[in-house]
Amino acid sequence: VPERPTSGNGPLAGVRAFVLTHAWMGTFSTELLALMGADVIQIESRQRPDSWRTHTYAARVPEVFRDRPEAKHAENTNALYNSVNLNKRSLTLNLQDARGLALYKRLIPFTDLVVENFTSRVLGNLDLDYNTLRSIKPDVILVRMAAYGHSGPYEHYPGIGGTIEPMSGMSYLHGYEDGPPMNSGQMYPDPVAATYAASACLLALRHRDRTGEGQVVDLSMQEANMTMIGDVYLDYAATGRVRGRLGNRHLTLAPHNIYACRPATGGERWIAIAARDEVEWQALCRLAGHPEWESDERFLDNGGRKRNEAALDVLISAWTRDQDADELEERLGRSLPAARVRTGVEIRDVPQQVERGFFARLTHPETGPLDYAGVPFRMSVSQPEIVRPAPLLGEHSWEVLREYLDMDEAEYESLVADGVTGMGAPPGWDGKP
Amino acid sequence: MAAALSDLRVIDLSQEVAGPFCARLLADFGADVIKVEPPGGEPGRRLPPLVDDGPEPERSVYFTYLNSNKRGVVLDLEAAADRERLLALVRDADVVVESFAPGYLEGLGLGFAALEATKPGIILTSVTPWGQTGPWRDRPATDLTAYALSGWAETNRFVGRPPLKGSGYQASMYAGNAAFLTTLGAIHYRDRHGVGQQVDVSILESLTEIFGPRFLQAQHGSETPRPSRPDFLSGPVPSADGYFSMTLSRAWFWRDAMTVLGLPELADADSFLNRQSKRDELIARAEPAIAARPKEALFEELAAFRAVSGMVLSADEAFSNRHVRERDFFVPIDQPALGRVEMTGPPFRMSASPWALRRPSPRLGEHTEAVLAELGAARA
Repeated sequence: VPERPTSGNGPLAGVRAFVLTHAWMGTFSTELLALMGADVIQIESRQRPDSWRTHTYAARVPEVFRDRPEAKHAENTNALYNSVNLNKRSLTLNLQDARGLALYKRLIPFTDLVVENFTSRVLGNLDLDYNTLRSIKPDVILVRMAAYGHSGPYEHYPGIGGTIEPMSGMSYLHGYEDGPPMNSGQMYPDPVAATYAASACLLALRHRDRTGEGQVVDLSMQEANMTMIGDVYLDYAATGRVRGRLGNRHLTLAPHNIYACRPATGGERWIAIAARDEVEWQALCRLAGHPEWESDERFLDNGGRKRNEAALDVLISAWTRDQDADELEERLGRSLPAARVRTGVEIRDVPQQVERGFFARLTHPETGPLDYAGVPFRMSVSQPEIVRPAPLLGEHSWEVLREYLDMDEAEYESLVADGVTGMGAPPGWDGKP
Repeated sequence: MAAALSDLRVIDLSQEVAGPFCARLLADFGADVIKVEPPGGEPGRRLPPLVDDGPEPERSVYFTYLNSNKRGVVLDLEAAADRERLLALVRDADVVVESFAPGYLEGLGLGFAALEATKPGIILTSVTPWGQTGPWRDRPATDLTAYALSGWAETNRFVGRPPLKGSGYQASMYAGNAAFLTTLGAIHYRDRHGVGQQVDVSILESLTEIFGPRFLQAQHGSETPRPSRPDFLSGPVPSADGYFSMTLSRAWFWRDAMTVLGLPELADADSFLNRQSKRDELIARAEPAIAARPKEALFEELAAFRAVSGMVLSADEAFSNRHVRERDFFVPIDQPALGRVEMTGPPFRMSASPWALRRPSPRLGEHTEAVLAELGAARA
């Protein structure tokens, strides 16, 4: 048995997980474990690469890498996959080939956790259901994620973040006051469920360490996300009220909105402004150079401001329209909540984020040095480190099979030739999608 | 079956949303969570929505949601005698959760060093807008500013409309969820090594972390542009009785969806592959077909083909959704302030160490005497 490896100094150093995760919900949940120091080996398929890598090996490498000869493969240069698989190793195994499945089963004794987010029946079809896994390793922990969980009438219905957002009740709440229900700009239900799944792994590990007992976890992306708006459901249960959409406004506080500022190079500029009490409201009036707002009888207290919010927003908008957004953030930001809206890459320039070293510059073998969202917490004793960028497809196949199964090179090469493991597109791939 | 955290005690000093949600989740998986509030109650007791009747500190529905499964104690941390009582509670605790302005506890002599001296191995989880360090750590902040700075407000918008925050206190809720995970990490480390530590969770960093895919896309030059109006390729559109969403990410989903919608002439793979260039035409053909159908019938019909779709459910609709009901997701409980209600159930179901809703949200100071007596910290 190999020595328990560690990646960095995180709290989960020594935990090992051969996981079957893919797309955002799955891979982000196991990335969180890897960011905490667990040795996460992601099992991938050369025959059916993760949809966050690519739908086809024929896809083009992003134009931005045209001067990088190393950037060769669509499956290794996708921003989606590369953003949520830091600190992991990639082992390809074709689980639909008897040899690939047998190799995975030989790895199960080494794993603390199996994590998966296939649709509900896939694990059983692969002969990897909980009873099978438990027969190999009695205290194994299996964490399963699916759109609607692993029982009930929708058990086998497909779903992704973009359809669970509406099915959880979230889309109904998200949108402009005068507009239709919307989905978030990225599939927010995915990272919500992923973060919960990582917690499920830690709770199950603790239970195992205390009792010697493994278990299976059933996570429904729909239910996980419903708990994030549990106040809305409780409000309905207690009062019959059905919450709608508020745009950028708040149920009771005013002002609370995002206002247009003077356009600058690169286009629109917007600033978010809120005042939660009289001190912040008075500061806003003073710093805006509009002391008359403070004595306006419509705005004498928060109740008045809320009742007259439309008129208040007209006044604030008329003022911000000619202001420089950065200057305004600087002028207001120490006295009340005020922040310029950042787009895309601008988020890495927020001084607070820079100073705390939140973003990590990592050099990926194909895409080169880029900035990544880093470790999203600080621990005074066991602060994790980012030790590697997202793996290339199958990058660690040889390393892992040698390390855990003492595989010799001849056997490995014959498996690679048959596409059971290895890197990149499988042999005989004809170049078509 | 023992819950995974049944041997742990948590002192919850946190207020409003993010910290209380973190502590609620620890309670849900078995920790004995004691919520410590100042006289008059923490500000979360005034968070809307409120019910119309009842004493003022007991009317917040939001507070009730975030603090169920906890016991409630009132201590005035500005008074020396109550600070001593708090330390007596800490002596028997494993985790402290707090959300004060950075430095506030330290100023009261209740910083990590003092807690650690009282209880070696203690874990102190702080959940705050900016984190404990950095040049903006003392700035005022709300969820609105976190949405603005993390990139989410910009990506949530329609072109031509303002950037858009998530609903309610979703940034704080997500940070509470992330703080729960991080605290479990610290508990794991303590179980293995016997060492406690400080955990610093920033609401802005938590939200920015999950903007990560779009952030890297921006550097790869592969961002999907935001639409200027709702369309069925990017989000919910009208059905006959509400709104409906499809996300047709694979050619066979597309083929089956177009067949179900009665548009076989759009079902070929070329339409799917060329959908960006033919976007307006596809939208003009498909959306009237969706608008003519009741959403549940369409959802069931597409599911039979295993095509991905979703109904936009309002709170009342999701509350009675047949799948959620069949799984017994909602859990009944008597909440003194609200009466007999059903609350959302487990975020995930553990076969051996399950989630449980064991007690309602505490009335202000409900357990002060009992807890202090139990922990040998009774008032002199």
